[in-house]
Amino acid sequence: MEPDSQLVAHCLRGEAAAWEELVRRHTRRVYNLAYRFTSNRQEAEDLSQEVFLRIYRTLASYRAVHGEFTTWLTSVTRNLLIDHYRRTRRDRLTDSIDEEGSPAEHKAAPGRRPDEVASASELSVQVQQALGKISPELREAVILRDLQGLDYREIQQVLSVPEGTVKSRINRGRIELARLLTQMGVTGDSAS
Amino acid sequence: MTWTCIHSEERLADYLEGQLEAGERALMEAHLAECAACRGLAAQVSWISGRLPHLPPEVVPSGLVFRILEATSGTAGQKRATSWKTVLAGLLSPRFALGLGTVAATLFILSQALDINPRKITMDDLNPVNLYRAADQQAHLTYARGLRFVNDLRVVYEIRSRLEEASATPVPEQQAPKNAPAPQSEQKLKNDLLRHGSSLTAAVTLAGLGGEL
Repeated sequence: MEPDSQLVAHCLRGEAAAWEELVRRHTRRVYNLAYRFTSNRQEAEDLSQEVFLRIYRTLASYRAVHGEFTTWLTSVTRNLLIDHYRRTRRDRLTDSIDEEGSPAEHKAAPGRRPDEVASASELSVQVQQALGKISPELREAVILRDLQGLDYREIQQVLSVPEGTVKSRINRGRIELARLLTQMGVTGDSAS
Repeated sequence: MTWTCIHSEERLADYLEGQLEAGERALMEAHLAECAACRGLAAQVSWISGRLPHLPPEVVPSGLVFRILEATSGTAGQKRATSWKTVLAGLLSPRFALGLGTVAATLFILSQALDINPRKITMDDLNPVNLYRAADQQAHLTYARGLRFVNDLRVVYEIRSRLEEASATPVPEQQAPKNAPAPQSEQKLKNDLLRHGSSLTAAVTLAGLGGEL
């Protein structure tokens, strides 16, 4: 498989096939990151398009010496996600006020027996619900590390924060996620 | 050093990843042995951290790659091929046809108003001075036609009102024997009016013009 950096070079020479290959190779990563962060499929789709549009326009500014293409792509995605988060903050605040009257979402999942095995897809949905409740700073750190598989150095580049901060955010993010899942009745005991 | 729950939380990731130094590791384990809450939390974090990387990825919506390509390089590539088609499609659209019709109607009305023969347009027709004169002339002609029409109407109403007046006026009893019977008298008046109709029209027209002037 041709490395990303070479595909980028082909793209810059005007080869449409190279760009198509680059898009096909990375759409899933970008879409998943966007979906895990926003918890909304339509927003994730729109944001994915926005990300690739930005990448397409600024492809000439990518330099392989500064890091992996994936890291650059993730940085662009993350920046757009944060912009989107700030843009839509007001709407979300209104929504959360509207939802205050609804029953508490932290209560244990009804009907779950301790010996019930949570399927991976079921757990995925529960994790998504919990992710949506933690702060964006911790959320993005956990997504990048545990769902996207980036190492600390790459996350450091993407978030532009020191390594100590990255580690601290991942740790706190996991703890919050674990507590929320416990409140939802989703625990290692019930799943195993 | 006293190892608290706060320490446990702060160093949990390092502990679970085996990154703690031997001394801290011993303190951590001693605390976990005593504190059920921290032990439960460590177990839950360890479990979910192990599960997260294996969660199934979200399925990319069908057509997303295509839409991305279309929004980036795709449209740029297709633009050259379909540019003429796009132009033709634009020309055939109802909006364009409506616009064209409106422009044609406007030009027709203008040519009528300015007394320009569309088949024989000369440079003089386009001279602003001539355009102004032609428009001025057309305006006066239209005004005069309108005025004549109004005056004709006045005459007609005048005749009609006279006739109604004549038929409505009761015939005095003492004059009845002198005059012919009423129907005959009315007929005479009608004949008179018809005879003098043209001169009456002219008179009323003049009066009307006088009034206008």
